[in-house]
Amino acid sequence: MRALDIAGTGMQAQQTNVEVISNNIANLTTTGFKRSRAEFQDLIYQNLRRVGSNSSDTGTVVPSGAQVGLGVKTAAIYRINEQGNLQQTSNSLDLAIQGNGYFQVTLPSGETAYTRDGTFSLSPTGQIVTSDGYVVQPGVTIPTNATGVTIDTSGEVQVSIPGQTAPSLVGALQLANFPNPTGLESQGGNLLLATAASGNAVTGNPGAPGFGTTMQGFVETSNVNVVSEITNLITAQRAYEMNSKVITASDEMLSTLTNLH
Amino acid sequence: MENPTTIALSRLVAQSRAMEVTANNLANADTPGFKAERMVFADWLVREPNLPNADGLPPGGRILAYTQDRATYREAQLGTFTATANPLDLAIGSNGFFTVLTAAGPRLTRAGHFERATDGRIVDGAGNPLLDINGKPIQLAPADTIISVASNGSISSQNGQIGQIGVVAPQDPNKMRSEGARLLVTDSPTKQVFDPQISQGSLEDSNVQPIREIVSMMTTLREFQFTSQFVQAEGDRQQSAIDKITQRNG
Repeated sequence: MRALDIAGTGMQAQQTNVEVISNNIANLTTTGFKRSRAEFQDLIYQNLRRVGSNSSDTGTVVPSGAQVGLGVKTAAIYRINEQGNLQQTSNSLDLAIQGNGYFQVTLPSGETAYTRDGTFSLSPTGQIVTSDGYVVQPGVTIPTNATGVTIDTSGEVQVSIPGQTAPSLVGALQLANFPNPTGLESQGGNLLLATAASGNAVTGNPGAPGFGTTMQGFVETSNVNVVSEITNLITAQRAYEMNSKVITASDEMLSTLTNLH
Repeated sequence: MENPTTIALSRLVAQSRAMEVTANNLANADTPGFKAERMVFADWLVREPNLPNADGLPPGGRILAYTQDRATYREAQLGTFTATANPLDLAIGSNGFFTVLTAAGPRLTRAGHFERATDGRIVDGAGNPLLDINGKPIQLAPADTIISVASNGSISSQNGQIGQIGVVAPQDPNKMRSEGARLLVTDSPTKQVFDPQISQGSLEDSNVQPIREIVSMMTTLREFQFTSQFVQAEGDRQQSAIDKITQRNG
């Protein structure tokens, strides 16, 4: 009975679907989180009667063959890079990216990771770091005697020093863009890594063509839409149940056969 | 040879195949661009050999009709659209197909989730490039960051027109074979669809209707059980006939 296996693949796929949805809901309030979507594709087909094969000696052909598909599999789980909402925090080191681009973060291993989570703080030496203490590239150091930090939409960091009337420029943050941002690999901790699929990072100043702008005092919330996640969850659950019904029905067919005597 | 059991058997085999088709439809209820499949049954006529000939057949004479699962066909009905907000998710509102170039040649698909490859080509989830109306891959420049796709398939960015996505329809839609991975292959010639009605930022869901599938599943199951009971009854009848004959001889 192939129907048992086919319905089994359907249940597995829906289970993956529920896992992806639950991860989206769990990260509803994660700063800079991008929701994912599981996408499915049909498995291979078995030809019971091939399309276009001859149906007689006179050359008539079968106009549509009999093909039975063998189920479903997960094709991809991809991030949807839609912009999240901007939420005001009034924290001078909270930055949201309005538009395309990622902040670049140096991991302890020396690798560069990418994030849209702009809740930054200062390290003991005054460097701008992420909430995990990783340095945001290119390293910008705020003097210890600075009283105020202003980061403009093009990423330039200016500080007010007591005794000076004009604010002084201490550095500028840069953003990275990718040919295919969907190809970035999620690393956890709001971090993404470049892969062969994402292509190489192209860095630029915020506000340059193709790059988003930095908004001081805001964070980007996740782009998870609760209503659509809940409706997706209901659909996934019902689809799971229907596949299990097919298993029950196939089982009943088999038991009918075994009860013949 | 006793025919009733073998005729019932042909029905049982056909019903179990119909169950597989239903199972595959339900398993793919969430597969974008998937079209529900239906089974076509046909009767397979066999004349009793001891009758004189076809013309000499008396009315109501013995023709045996076996069931044969003759074909499967795809329902062409449009699936519902889900908005995904991904600029390269494209849904076709007409009856055409996208063409992607695989290692084995061009293949048709309605699954419209595309991504941008590192070399700038628009590719599907498996890395097969999407073809334009001239059968060439569509190439985006690195500066093209804001992509918009018009209803007629014309693709452009903030730097101007890039190309036109090809949407084709085969002359004989029944001659398409499913290859899995949402790809279809056809030998019949294809022609461009005049107004493809592409909708950007959405995906076409499968057109599987759960109610229909569940009803067809229950019907299949009950018919299967009904036919099995017939096989059972026929077996009992033969058994009792054998018993009676052997008793008389004994």
